This record gives sequence, structure tokens and C-alpha cells, in this order.
Amino acid sequence: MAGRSIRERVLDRLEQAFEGPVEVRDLTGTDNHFEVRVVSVAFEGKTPVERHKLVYAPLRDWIEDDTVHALSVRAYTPTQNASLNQEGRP
Amino acid sequence: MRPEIKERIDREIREHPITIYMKGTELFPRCGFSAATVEALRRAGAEGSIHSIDVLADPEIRESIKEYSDWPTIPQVYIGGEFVGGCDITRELYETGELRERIEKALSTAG
Repeated sequence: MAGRSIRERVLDRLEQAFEGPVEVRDLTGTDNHFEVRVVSVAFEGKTPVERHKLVYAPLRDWIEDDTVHALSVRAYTPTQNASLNQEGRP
Repeated sequence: MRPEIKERIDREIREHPITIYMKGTELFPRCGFSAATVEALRRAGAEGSIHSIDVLADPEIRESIKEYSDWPTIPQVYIGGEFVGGCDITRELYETGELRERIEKALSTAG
């Protein structure tokens, strides 16, 4: 387990928490500023704030102790993700 | 969170139509996400009406505000006394035009 990057460990936790595809990008190369993209049915009917809280939840301790210094979140339902893919997704 | 702090936050977000808890100040943001959030607010019509609180100058507020909205990161935006979100959500709302609507509504009801 040791030696794995924070990025990989964030990816693991999110993949365990969500059934859909998860992507984690290191924004600055310092392994502590990430953009995460999650697709899940869990987001259906949820406000943006609720969706982001669902993504923050499995990472809460790392956010609080600054292991994850910055986290940009993109949370989509499967239907949203499908339509984004047609338009060339952000 | 100390009750006085909760009361202070309640009052602050009620008295000011647009409030942002951020790192640095509106004029001198000290974090990229805080700066981008202030920029989105300005572009959506909040220029001159943004009440910013520098959490770097007040460690107790920095921790309490995370508990207040059960949101673990800074910046945090409040419009019309309601929690809007952090940098991502504020910018998403800017892109859809909803941020401008909420700002205009909050400024108009503020009288």
C-alpha cells in the first residue's frame, strides 16, 4: 500500500463509494490538488450542494488534515453524462 | 462551535445579501479558488456588494464555518442568507445564469 500516490488512494475510495465511472486528475503535479469526476445514480434528484457533499464524504478526513488540499468536483448522473458525451464532455 | 460564533454567522449572512468566507479579501484573495469565486460573483452583478470574511485572519471562524454548513472547504458563498456552495458550484451557477438571478433577488429584497 505504501508508495501509492494520494491520487490513486483518492481514486480507490471514490470507486468504493460510487458504482459509476470515477476519474481523478492531479491539477498541479503536487499530488494534493485534484479534480474528480464522478458519474452515479446517487446524484439523481440531488442539488449541486448535496452531490458535492456525497463526493466529499469518503474523503472528509483527508480534506480536514490537508492531505487533499484542494478538490474540484464534477458530479453527474448517468443521463447527464451521456448527453455530455455527445456534446464532447467538459 | 461556540453559540456566539453561530449567532455571529447567522447575523452576518442575514444582514448582507452576498457573503463569502474566503482566504484573503475580495481585493487581495490569497487562494486561486477564492479568487475565482469572487470573480464569478462580480461578473454576475455583485460588484460592490460583496461582504468578504478572511478566514485566514480568524482561525475560529475558519473551522466553525465548515461545521455551520457541513461543508469541509473554503471558500463558502451565502446569498440571501442561504448557503450556495464553494467555487465549483458558484461557477456552475454563473454559467447557467442562476447566480445572477439569485444575486439580483438578494440585492432587491435587501432594499
